Amino acid sequence: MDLYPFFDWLDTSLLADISKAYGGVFAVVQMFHLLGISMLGGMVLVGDLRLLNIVMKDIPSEVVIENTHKWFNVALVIIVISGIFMSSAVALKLYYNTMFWAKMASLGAGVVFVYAIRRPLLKFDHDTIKPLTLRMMAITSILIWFTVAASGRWIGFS
Amino acid sequence: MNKETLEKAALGFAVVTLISLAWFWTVQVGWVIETLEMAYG
Repeated sequence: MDLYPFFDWLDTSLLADISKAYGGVFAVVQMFHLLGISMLGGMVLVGDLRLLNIVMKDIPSEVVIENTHKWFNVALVIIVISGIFMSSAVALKLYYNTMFWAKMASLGAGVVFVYAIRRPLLKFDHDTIKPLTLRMMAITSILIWFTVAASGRWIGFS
Repeated sequence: MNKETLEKAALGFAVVTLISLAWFWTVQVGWVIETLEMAYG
């Protein structure tokens, strides 16, 4: 499926007009994007390090996961909305950028992992889940979201 | 889905993802090293 028409449309959309013409607006939206990334990264780290039994050992992992997941959702919404706005400023450039597609692929993998596997599985009592599965999930989660952030940052240098 | 299926899915996803990410970052770091070698010998 060729997504070029979408990026071509985005490049000439109203969003692109605003993001290209008003540097201040772009900067504020970028601030929210970075805030969202740090919030999402924080929630991922707290939740996964708890699953690895490294932090907050005195709090049940079910409680930590439940609370971090709520704010993970908020952060993801902020990131996606601000990200679409920021993409509109350089839509065609991004279309030809390998790192952008690496970021999108890892973001897609992360979203599928969180909502189709991690979240449903962690609704069960954590004591009944095999420790190896919990550890593998935590390590995978950290590495996926690290890749999303790192490849996103790499876009600016490629 | 029941817990056993989800656990299997989690482990399968984890293995595939970890292999893919290891390959991806190895290639990226390889390109950086190659570029540095071209620039500085």
